[in-house]
Amino acid sequence: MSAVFSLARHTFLDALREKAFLLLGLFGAIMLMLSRLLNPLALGEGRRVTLDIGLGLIAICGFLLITVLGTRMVHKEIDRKTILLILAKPIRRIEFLAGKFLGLVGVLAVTIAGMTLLLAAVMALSGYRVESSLAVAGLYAFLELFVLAALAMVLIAFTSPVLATFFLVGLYVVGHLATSLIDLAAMLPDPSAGRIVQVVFYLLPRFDLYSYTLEVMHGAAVSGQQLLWGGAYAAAYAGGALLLALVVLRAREFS
Amino acid sequence: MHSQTRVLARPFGEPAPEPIAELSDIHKTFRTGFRRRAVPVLRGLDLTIHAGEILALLGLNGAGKSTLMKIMLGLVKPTRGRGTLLGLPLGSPAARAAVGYQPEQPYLYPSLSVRETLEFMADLSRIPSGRRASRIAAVVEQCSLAGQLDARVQRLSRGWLQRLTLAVALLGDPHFLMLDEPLGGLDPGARLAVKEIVRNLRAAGKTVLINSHILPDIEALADRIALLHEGRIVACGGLHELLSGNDEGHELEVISDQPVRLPGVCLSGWAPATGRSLWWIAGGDPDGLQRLLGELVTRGLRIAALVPRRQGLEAFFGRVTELRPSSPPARPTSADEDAAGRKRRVS
Repeated sequence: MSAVFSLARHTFLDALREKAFLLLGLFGAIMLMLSRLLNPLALGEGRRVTLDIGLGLIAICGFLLITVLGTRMVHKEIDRKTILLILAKPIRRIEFLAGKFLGLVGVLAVTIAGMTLLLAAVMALSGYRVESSLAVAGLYAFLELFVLAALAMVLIAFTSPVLATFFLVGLYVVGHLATSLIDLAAMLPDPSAGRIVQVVFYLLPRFDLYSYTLEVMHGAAVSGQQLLWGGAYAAAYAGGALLLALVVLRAREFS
Repeated sequence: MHSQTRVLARPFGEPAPEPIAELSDIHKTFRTGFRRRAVPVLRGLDLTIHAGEILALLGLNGAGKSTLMKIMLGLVKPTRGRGTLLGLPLGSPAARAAVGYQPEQPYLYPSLSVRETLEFMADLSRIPSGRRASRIAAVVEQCSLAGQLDARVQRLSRGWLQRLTLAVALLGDPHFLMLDEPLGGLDPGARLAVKEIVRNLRAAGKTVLINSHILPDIEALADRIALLHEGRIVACGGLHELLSGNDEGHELEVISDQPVRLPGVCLSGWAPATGRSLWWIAGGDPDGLQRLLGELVTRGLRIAALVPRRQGLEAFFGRVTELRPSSPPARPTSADEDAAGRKRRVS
C-alpha cells in the first residue's frame, strides 16, 4: 500500500473513530422530522420545502465536518507529536499533506453521498419525485467542501484549530458573497482601489459557483460544460491552496 | 567553563571506521515568546558517528540531545552548519529510509492496536508488500510483542509502549538507530529487556545513537560517549578513555562528635545521629593519603572505613560540566546516611 494511500486510509478511519459519520444519522433524523412537521404547513409546496431544508442541511453539516474534523486532524498529529513518528519515516511533507487531504476528502465524499441519498429517500417516502438534479446538487456541495477542505489545510498548517475555524467561517461567508466585490469595484471612484478589490475577488474562493438549490427545485438541467467548469475550478483552487499549505508545512519545524 | 572539545584519539595505526553520520559546526537557535527571544541550544557542534558503534549522547536536560536527533532527521532545521547522514543530506527521505527513530515519549495512536500500529508504520516505512509480513513478524519477535498484538495502545504500560516504539523504529530494518531516552521510566525488567535488544542490534552490526540520563546504563551499553554541554560536544570517547586517571580515589569514613574539617578535602556528608563523616579523596597519591590518615590519628578520630573506589561516569559528568552542589552538604539522617554521602561526592 502506498504511503499516501495508507495515510489517507488512516485519516478516514480516524474520522470514523471520531464518530464523524454520526452527522449522517443526525441529518436523516432531522430530515424525516422536518418533512413530517412542515409538509402539512407547506400548502402544496412540500417538495420544495423538503429540498430547500435538505440541501441547506447538507451544506451546514458538510461545513461543520470541515471545521471540526479538517482543522483538527493535522493539528492532532502535531499536538500528539505522532507527526514526529510519521516524518521520521521516509515520508515527504507533500505526501503527508496529500494523505491527510485525501482522507478528509474521502470522509466528505461518503458523508455528502450519504446525506444526498438520505434526502432522496425521505423525498421518495414522502411521495415526491426525485430527479437527477439532486445528484448534481450533491456533487456541487461536495466540490464546495473540497475547496474548503484545501483551505482548511492551509490554515491549520500555520495556526491553531480555533483560529483556523474562525478564518474558515470568514472565508466561507466571503466566498459566497464574492461576486458583490465586483459590484463594489465598479462603484469605487478610485480606479486603483477598484483594481485592488478585483485582485481580492480573484484570490477569494467562488462558492457562489456551487449554489444550485434553485435549479434543483425547478428541475433545471446543468450542462456538461457547467459541471466541467465547476470541477476544474475546484481542482485548480484546491491545488493552489494545497501548494500554499505545502510551502508553510515545509517551513515548519517539529520539535 | 569548558570551551574546548576533548576528543580522545583512537590507538595509533587503527583504521578509521566508516562514518554513518558527520555533523559539522551545527548551530540551532530557537525563537520563543511574543518577542521571539533567541534561545541558543546548539553552538557549533561537531560529531562523527561510526558504523557499528553504540554512541551515547550525554547531557543535562535542555542540552540539545533530542534537538540534535531531530536535526539529523530533518524535523528541525539547523540555524547554521552542515552534515550528512549515510552520505546523504540530513533529513533527506533516502537517508530516513535507512534510519530508525524512537522518540523520547511513545507518541503513538491510542485507538490503534499494536498490530494496526505496526501495519500502518510498515506502510510509511515503504516496506515492499512481499516483505511486510516478515518484517512485522521479525520486530514482534525482537521486541517480544507477540502477546500484545491485539491490545489497544492506550491500554499498554510504559514498558510495552517503549517496546512498541522500538519495534516501529526497527520496522524498516535500518542501518542506523536513533533512540531518544529508550530506558526512561521503565521498571528494571523492562530496562533489562530493552538493553538486551540494543546489545543484539550492535551484534547484528547496526549503529546506534542513544540519548539517556541513566548513567549506569550508558556505561554498560555505549562504545563511545559524547558529552553535550552548552551546545557543544565537550568530551567524546570510550568510557575508559574518558575516565582514565581522573576517576580513582578513596572513600573515607570517620566517626566523630561533630563535623570534622580536613585540609584540602571536601566533606561529602555527615550524619549527626551516628557521628559518621564521609569524604571523597581524589587521586591515588599514597603519600598524601598517609599524611591525611596521620592527621586523623593525631586528632584522635576513629577511622571507620577507607575504601578505594572509581567514581565512574557520574563524577566525570559533574566535573566536565562543572556541576557543583548549589548548597552545603545537608545533614543526612541515619537511615540514608550512606546513600546521601555517596551522592554528594565532591572531588
